[in-house]
Amino acid sequence: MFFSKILNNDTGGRIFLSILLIVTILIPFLNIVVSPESPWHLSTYTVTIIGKYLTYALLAIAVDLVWGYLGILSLGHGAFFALGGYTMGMYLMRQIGDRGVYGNPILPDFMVFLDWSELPWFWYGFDQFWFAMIMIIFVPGLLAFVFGWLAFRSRVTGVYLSIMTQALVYALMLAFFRNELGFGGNNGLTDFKDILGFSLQLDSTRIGLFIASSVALAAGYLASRALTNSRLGRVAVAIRDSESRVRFIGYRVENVQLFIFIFSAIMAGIAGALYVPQVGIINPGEFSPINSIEMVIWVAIGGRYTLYGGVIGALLVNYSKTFLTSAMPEVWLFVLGGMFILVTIFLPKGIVGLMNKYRGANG
Amino acid sequence: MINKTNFFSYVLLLTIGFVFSSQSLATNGDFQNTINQLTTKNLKTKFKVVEDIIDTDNPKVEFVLQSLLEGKVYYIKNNKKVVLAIKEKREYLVKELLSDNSLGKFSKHQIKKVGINNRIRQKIKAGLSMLNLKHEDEKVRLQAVKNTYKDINASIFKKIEKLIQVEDNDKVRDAMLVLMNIYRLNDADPYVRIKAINDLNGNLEPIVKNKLMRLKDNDKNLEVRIEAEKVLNNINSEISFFKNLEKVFFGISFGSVLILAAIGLAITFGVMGVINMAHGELIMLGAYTTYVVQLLMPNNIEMSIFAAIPAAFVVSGFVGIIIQTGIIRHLHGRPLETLLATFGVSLVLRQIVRTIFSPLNRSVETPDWMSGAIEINGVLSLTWNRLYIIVFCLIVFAALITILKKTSLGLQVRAVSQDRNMARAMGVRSNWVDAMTFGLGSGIAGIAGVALSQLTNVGPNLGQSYIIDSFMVVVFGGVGNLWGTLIGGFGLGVINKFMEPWVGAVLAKVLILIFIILFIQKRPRGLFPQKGRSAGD
Amino acid sequence: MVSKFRDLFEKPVPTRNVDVHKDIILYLEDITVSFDGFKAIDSLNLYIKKNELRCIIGPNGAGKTTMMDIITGKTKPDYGTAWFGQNFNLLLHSEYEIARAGIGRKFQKPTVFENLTIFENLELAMDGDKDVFPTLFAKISATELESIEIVLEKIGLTSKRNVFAGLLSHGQKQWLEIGMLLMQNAQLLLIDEPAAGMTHQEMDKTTELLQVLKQEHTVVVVEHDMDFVRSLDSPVTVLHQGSVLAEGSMDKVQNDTKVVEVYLGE
Repeated sequence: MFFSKILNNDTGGRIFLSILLIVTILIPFLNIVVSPESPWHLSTYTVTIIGKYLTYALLAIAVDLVWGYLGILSLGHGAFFALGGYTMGMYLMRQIGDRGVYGNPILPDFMVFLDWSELPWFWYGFDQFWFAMIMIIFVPGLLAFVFGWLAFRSRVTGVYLSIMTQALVYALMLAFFRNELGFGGNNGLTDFKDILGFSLQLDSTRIGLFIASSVALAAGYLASRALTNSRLGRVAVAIRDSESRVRFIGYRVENVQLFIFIFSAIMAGIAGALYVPQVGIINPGEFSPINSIEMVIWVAIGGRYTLYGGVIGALLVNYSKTFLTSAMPEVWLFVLGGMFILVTIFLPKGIVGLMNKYRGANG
Repeated sequence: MINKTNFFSYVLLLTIGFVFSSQSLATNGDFQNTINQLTTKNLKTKFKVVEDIIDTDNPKVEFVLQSLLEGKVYYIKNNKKVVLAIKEKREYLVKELLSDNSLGKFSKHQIKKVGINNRIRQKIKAGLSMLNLKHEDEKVRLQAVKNTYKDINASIFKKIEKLIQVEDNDKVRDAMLVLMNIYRLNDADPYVRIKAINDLNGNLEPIVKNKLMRLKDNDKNLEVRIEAEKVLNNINSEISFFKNLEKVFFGISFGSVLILAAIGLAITFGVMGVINMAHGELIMLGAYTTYVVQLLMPNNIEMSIFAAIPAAFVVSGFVGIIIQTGIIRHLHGRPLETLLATFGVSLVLRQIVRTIFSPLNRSVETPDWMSGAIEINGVLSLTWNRLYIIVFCLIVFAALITILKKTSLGLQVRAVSQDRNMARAMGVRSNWVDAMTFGLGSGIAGIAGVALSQLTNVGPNLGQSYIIDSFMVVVFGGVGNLWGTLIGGFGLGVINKFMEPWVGAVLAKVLILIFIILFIQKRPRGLFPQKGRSAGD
Repeated sequence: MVSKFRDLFEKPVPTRNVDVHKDIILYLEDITVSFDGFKAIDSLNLYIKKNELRCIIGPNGAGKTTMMDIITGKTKPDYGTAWFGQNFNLLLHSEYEIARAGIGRKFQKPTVFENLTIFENLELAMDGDKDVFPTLFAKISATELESIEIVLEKIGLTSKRNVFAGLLSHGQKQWLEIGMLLMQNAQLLLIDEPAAGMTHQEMDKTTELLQVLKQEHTVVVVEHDMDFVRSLDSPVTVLHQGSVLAEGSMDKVQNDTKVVEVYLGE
């Protein structure tokens, strides 16, 4: 089987995918089949939260791919996530049709509110699902292409590059907050009604989205694993460790970086596209620089250069965040900051590294 | 109530009134009567009363008007006498308006404030200006003349015509001429208008420009319209020249702030190669130090800045040293991890400040010697706080260069940054040097915070606004080169300020970012890169 | 401008199309380069013949490494020409193009890929289509496997093929690097200080290896260690302050008065 070949040496990957499979079957079961009175019942709300976490997990894999394997610390991956989210959001907005507050079949509410008479050209086509799907891949990919081409060609690497990615996402945030840009300004896009004809309020739709997120996560993992197992993946690791040396062997380093960067950006975009229908809103806050930095911490805590480590980190950090911000809100930022400091000094290989060390020490 | 005594006084008053032309001379008693009419609730009547007060010839008129403006005029409910009342704790110290006699303490239920509306307020201000035309201080006179530009009528014109002949100060006289010419712009005779237009050429006051624009569009006489347009064009080009100068000034001022913020980073990043994402917070700590210093010396705000500078240097420097020895030292040679760990520090520092002080902004006062401005002309005025900060920035820069070039610490810093192992082999204690260097860079960030506290709001997120800009300056100017930071900072500041009016602050930032990304393409090492091959190339 | 556009879409670089029918494989003429006012290379002329084993020696700062940088495309000179064979202008190409054209370089400090195994190091260096998509979908063929085995034997690391390169000794890393050069199928091998940090036994082995290499490749060795250079028994070029001071056999060069002056008892 093709899959088993990819997962040949990848015990961690096999464990991860097995758990994911179980979760994907179990969760809908606990929601649909188990009756609401039972303590085992999972509310649809919980299903959506888990679905959201799954999209974060996919995002973490995207970050680990460029960081753990290629050595590029992108502090702006939130840009791709958000762009994917906005693209899906635009489709969902068009789907509202005349059910919005102002009842305009073509123009979304916020455009009517701004007194716009026509749909801007870049909104054309988003009433078609297939077009939106293409855009979800194309838009983050295009941004990654332009930014990457400029950066890698001029051999900007290391810390400079990281700062540039932060600046990029910051600039996008400022831009998307403007009403004139045509993406809803600081309110963003929201009040979605349905996707592909299925109402977003229905349990079945939410479970469908949950399963889609799970499938996307699995596919993303397998695709990334296939990439890292390939010779190109090894070239990436070589670039990570000695970039200039790789040039002298005959590889065009910029192109390798560009390819993997775009691949990762598209994955992040898909994650964003699955995130938005589940949380019901996309706004410029998704572009905030701190979000992009938090993703990096997911991967650092979980363990980079593993792909599934980021998944662990994403779940752990987001769960802590949800828990702490409601229980003891002032503490959360201390915890997050502390995590950054402690993980980089004491846990350079993350939790997975810790587990491996533990297993290694015990034979 | 006219009885014999009053009648006689009034006849006397009228006689004297004729002799002494427009203003009616009044004794304190009569003046007080006029003032007492301020108790009326009808605003139109009140307005008239104020007009009367203005026209009264009594040495206390100015004081009365000023007190009205300041909200210190009240009336006693019992006898409807209008008085001066100053609040002291829960009571009011009441004095007579026209003399200094104290009438004792009153509770707030016994007196009521004489309120005024905007129209009355404007009238009072205009009236005060008129009075100030004769003030002994020429600055007051000048301001009074300028205040009257908007609101000239025939009687004022005549008054000025007289006053100008006894005015000995040039500036005041010029301003009076301008005033007269503004009035003449409405003269019936077109030649008078044309002459007035020409006399006003080169004057950059906005009111002049507005009047000329109206003449250009609406005047019935063709020659007048042409003349107005000619002079207007000249004035407009002069205005835009000065506006551009102002942009340059703002650019240099903004640049100086950027430099102060970035120069600490230029040391830690440029010289040590350490990315410190908490650099913005070190700036923020300096600003908060200023706030605390002002809390500790509330009666001596004038000196507070001088105390805050060394205090901020020590506080931020100390925190910097802790960061360096506690965290960064353990991550030597791993720049990406250093970036992440220091980002964690930045989060923690911000949260600490939020917890100790409050998430809201704190207010930091500007000492008097830093307020105000130099007015070059109607368009360009250079505020003192910005001027001081520009000078301050240059002093700090010079001090830093001196430290690095002339002191032994500086020598050791440069040695360690160029070749750590060699320096250690020669006996330099590299760990100590690292700590001191980082402390120096952080201390300067603290000082930058003191300067920033005078220009902007002090809050926990202060650092975040400047961190990206600081990195841009360092990268643009050339990592490791302090002169590059200086030129880069001023350059970016000016570019930013010139772009802002066209594209808005947000887009300006975005464009500058893109510009720097493209610039790095052509010159990856910045404007003034560090010389030589680096060992790790 | 147009070529830059085509660049985007990966115009295939002519590898192995280098014309070396004339005897000389490397021409450096009048090369001059300065760094911030310091002249690292000053009107350097160098001609290397096919299948030569040439040693470049000279004191520190003589410009040896800079010369290598120029040949391999890392640094562009201010003045002068550099040709590989008759038709490949080194100054117009970037590092990866020059590598694909057939010039391989081993660095002073061994720079193998520490987190990859020896086998993987050799696999990456292996000659073939190194564009992105071919590399992504590359499946190693039987012939390719064999070529790796052959090289593993030549450098004596067959038993260690699955060991991470970071765990090798200094000498072994040097050989791995030479092995990678062989995998590249480079016509011209530039070897920077192969003897550095080696034991005497390792040095002997290296001398042997280089002599063998010379039969099918052209080898340029930059070295400090005079004994090692002597053991190679090949023509020597002495660099000093960025230009050629003397050329010839080791004996001739050693007795050259100018060289003696410069080295003074070396």
